[in-house]
Amino acid sequence: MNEIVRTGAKVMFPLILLFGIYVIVHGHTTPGGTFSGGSIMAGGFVIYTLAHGVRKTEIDMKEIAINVLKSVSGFILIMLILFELFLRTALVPTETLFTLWSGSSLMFFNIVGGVMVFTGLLMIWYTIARTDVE
Amino acid sequence: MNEKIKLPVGLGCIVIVLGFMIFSIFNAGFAQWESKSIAGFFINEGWRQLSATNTVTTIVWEYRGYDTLGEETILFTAAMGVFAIGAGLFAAEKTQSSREKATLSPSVKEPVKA
Repeated sequence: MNEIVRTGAKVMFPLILLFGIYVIVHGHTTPGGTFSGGSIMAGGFVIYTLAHGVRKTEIDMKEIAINVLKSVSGFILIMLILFELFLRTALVPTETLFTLWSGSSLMFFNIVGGVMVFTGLLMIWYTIARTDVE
Repeated sequence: MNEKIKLPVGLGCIVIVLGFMIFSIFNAGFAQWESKSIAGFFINEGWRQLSATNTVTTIVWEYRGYDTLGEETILFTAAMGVFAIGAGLFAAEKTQSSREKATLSPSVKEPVKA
């Protein structure tokens, strides 16, 4: 793509990632959460790919890192589901409403699920971008 | 099945199913949902049990958590399916030795030097 698109992507890419992380982390106090935040972060990488090409994106965000991240987050999700009750009983008395430190186990669920959605959409996008579209 | 009988039987099945759906919709009793449902419990007790103000997240990840686990599994399976289809396409291209011709479209291949 041309210079304008590349400069715009360079400016917008960190902000999009930051906004996605904000939506994921604040999923228990404000609207949003797992799927919307993960989709926003994957959309940031789509813009990065359209501006810089698939080769540079694959060098910056390696596919093996995506696979490892997805597998580890899935394992942590199952562990969280198994030990959710202990986490809730331990965390709820220490928290206050309307702050970031609330929503006992929901914040961890949101983070892990957001990473899973983000990596899944990114795997699909890499596969689509690498194949021939002519 | 006979060709003459196929159309009336199909239309009859469609009419029966649609009639049952409309009948059940009118019999559902939307007016009594307030007293029957558990929405009041979610709204009144959900934030107290989990200290979270977003009730939608409370329902999705706690009261309905196994369903969300299934959704994540579906997403994981979909990603792996697309990945497998792409890998199969690459393998087919390699065997046809047209790898250089059909790897990437020019629009996403490399940045054009302006």
